[in-house]
This record gives sequence, structure tokens and C-alpha cells, in this order.
Amino acid sequence: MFTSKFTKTYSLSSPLKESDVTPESSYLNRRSFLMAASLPFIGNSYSAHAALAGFDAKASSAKTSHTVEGEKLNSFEDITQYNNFYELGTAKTDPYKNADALVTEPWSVAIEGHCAKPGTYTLEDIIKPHAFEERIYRLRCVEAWSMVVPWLGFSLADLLTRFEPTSKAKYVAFETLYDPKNPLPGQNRPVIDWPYREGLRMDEAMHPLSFMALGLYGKSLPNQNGAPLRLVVPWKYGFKSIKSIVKIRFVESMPKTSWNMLQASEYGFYSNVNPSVSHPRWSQSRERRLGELFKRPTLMFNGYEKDVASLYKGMDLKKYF
Amino acid sequence: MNRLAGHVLGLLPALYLVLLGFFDGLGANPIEWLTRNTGKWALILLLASLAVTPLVKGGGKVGLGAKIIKFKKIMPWRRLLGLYAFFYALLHFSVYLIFDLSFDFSFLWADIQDRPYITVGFLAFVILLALALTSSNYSRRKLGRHWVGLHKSVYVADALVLLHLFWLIKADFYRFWWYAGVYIGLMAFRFLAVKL
Repeated sequence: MFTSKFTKTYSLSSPLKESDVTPESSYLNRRSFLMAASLPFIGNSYSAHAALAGFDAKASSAKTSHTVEGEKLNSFEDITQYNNFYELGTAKTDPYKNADALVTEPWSVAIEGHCAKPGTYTLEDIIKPHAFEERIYRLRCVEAWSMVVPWLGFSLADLLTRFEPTSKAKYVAFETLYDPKNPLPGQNRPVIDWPYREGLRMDEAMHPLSFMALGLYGKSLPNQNGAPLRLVVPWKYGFKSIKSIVKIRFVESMPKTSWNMLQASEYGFYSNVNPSVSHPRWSQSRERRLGELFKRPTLMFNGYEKDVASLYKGMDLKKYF
Repeated sequence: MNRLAGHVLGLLPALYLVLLGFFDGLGANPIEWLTRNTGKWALILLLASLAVTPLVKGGGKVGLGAKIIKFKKIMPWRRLLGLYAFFYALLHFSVYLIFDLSFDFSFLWADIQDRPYITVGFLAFVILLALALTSSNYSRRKLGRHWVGLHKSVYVADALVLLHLFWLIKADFYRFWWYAGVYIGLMAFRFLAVKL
């Protein structure tokens, strides 16, 4: 049913040409392009900040710097209609339904803690100096489903470096938008201790795979995917990739993180994808890629083992899960 | 007529699932959707079957327009609803066994051992299977007074199903408390209010 909505609109007056959307393309087939091109017609998933900071120009000149060999991209509809974003509701379909409740303009990000350039930066400030890249990453949810997403953005290290973190900055903490006076629909109930918090060790944050995403499928992030900017840490379970970031704080000790606060025995600070660390609800040894009926084996560090294993050298990964 | 209404009640959810499947309405993760919804309907029908006796014994009758409906008439629903609950539990278990476990019984055994919510869910399924197999009039005659005792284990099965759901939830217990509240209410009514 949904499919028709996405396939019927492609021939309308989209300003995007295939060459605009997919420079040196790794959009694997024409269907992906059609979905990207039809994006502006999809009501609540198209947000106004695309016009900011030369977003369109950056998006159209983005080169694909990472890909997942031999894997098919998940469709735009899968990526944008099956989400965990508890601020917009706890059912998978809630974030898409309630996407309008998240207002992303104006948007600013508070930079705090051990750095030379703390302050409040507008989204435009954040984006301006960076060229966009497209990165196709696997995303693995702790609930044992996964997808392959073409993100658009820039490396987190490039962003963090701008604020000149000091030697005291051992960790970086993030927070999601939360306004108790005007909470997002999901924040009306204390399902988790709002605001949503996440964090990385400094070396994890500075790792070249850590990514600040501002778009997907060549367009700005839909609200339900964490507009206007979110983290993507592809070797960790999805909940580490915090959405709709309003605060970045350089800290000396390990910051509190939301799921860990809720149930420390199940959600460790690291939350690296690890098929040998079990979970009381979901065996992590296998996963269901959206679009497939049967489960497939889960790869160590979600398939990024050779890139990131060195970060955890000498650590007992069953203890520091 | 009454029985027919019971069948309709039991089959409507299945019809809904089939229609959604037919019209591609199961979303991005249809297997997860099917698992969740077959489980949901098993629980709802278990609670519905649990509601029959209190309604018959304690509910008396209710005015519906000009007609008076005696709740006594819904007694035949009890077995029907119980059997439909088992039908959805069977679908629920089958979807899990086929698509999550790829029929690998070593995965099943590991899950039963490692994950408490699977342990209690499986126990509940075994109880419901036993009740479904002994639901016929023939079994009832054969088992005599033991039959009533055996079939009261549905109270335990329902509690296990609720525990199964409780342990499955990550954070949002809102819906869970509705189900648990109905169960506690029906059990309280059974043991406290209805001593006829």
C-alpha cells in the first residue's frame, strides 16, 4: 500500500536529477533514486532546514565515502517508517505518525565542558564549514533487526575538533531535545528519564567511522530519523546513535546514558554489537535485516571489526559490553 | 446463533491479519508485526474466555435496546474463546519457530534456557496445548472431576502469558497494566465476589 505513494510521484517536477543525487553513485539501483527524488512530496518527512546553510548544494556534491559491499540499501519507507524514537512514541510506527510534533527550526546546539570554544551554535554554524559525504552503513538495533542506510553528513571528529577539546575531555556526552514545558508526545510519560542521553569515549568519538548525520537518501533527515542532526556509530547498537542533538558536552568521567540508567545489566555503556554477549530478550547472535524473512548471523562489531577492534584492545568485552 | 457470534469474535482478528498481509500493511518488519499481533490476540482472547464465567454467574442480565440479553447464553463461548486463544498462541509460536529460529530446535532449547520470558511463554503454550487437546466433550467425560482441575490451570497459563509480556517490554508498560488489570479484576471477581 505504501509503495504506491512512493512510486507514483517520481515523475513529478522534482528538481533532482539522478546525477544530482548520486554522484559517483553507489545508489545501487534505479529504485533507490526514485525514492530519493520523491522525498519532497512526502509531507511530514521533509523538513524546512534543508534550505539552511547551503544544504542542497552540499547534498548534491556529496561523495560516497563508505559503502557496504554486496548489501542492498533498505528502502526509504523502511528507514523512515520503522523507528525507535521514544520522544515521538514507543511503537515503531509512532515516530512517523508524530513527526510533525518535532520542530527543527530554529535549532541550536550547546557546546559545553572541557573545550576552548564552548557556546551555543546555530545549526547553520554547525554545518557551514563541512563538506557532506554519503556513508552507507549497517544499522543494528538491540532488538535484533537491522537495516542498511545511506546517511549524509560529516565525520564527528571534524565537528568536535572545531571546538578544541582539552586534554581533560575523556568522554563526550550528548543530549536530545527535551522541553518539559512543551514536551514531545512521547515525553509526556516517564518511559525513560528525559532528556535522552548518550555518550562516547573520546577515542570512539574521534574514530573516522563516527558520523554526524544530517540527511539520508540525499535529502535532509526526516524528523522521525532524528532531525536536524544525529549521531551514527555504526559498530554499536542503534540506541547509541542519539537523535535530534541539542547538547554536546566534553567531560572527564564516563557520562550517564539513558538505557544504561534504565537497566544497567542489559545495556552497557559501550553497547558494541557483539553476537556473543546475550541479552535477556533478544539473542544477539542473529538479526533480521528489514526486508528479509529469516534471520542472518550478526557480525562482530556489526561488521566493522577490522576498523574498530583496536579501540577495545585488552578489554574483556563480556564485562565491558 | 450464539456460537456463531463466538466464532466471529475468534476469527475476526485472523481475518484482519490476513487482510493487512494481503494489502501490504504489515510494515517494514512483517514477522515482528505478526509475532506481536498473534500474541496480542492470544492474550485478549484468553482474557475474554476468562470473563465468561464471572459474567454468567455474576453479571445477571443487561438491557440492550428493548431486548434483555441473559449472559447465561454466552456460556458456550467459553470453550470457543479458549480454543481461539490457543489458535493464536499456536500461530504466535509457529511464526517464532519458523522465522526467528528457522526450525532449529537447538536455538529453541537455548532460548528456553537463557531467556526467562521465553521460558514462561513456552510453559504457557504447553498448558494451553494440553487444555486444547482435552477440550472435547469426550475428554471431559473421560477425565470426570479431574477435568475441572486441569482446566483451572488456565489461570496459571494466563499469569504466565502476562509475565511473558512483562519481561519482554523494554520500557513502556502502559499497555501492559491494562491487560494485567483486567486479569487481576477477573480473578478477584472469581475468588471473592462469586460464591454462588
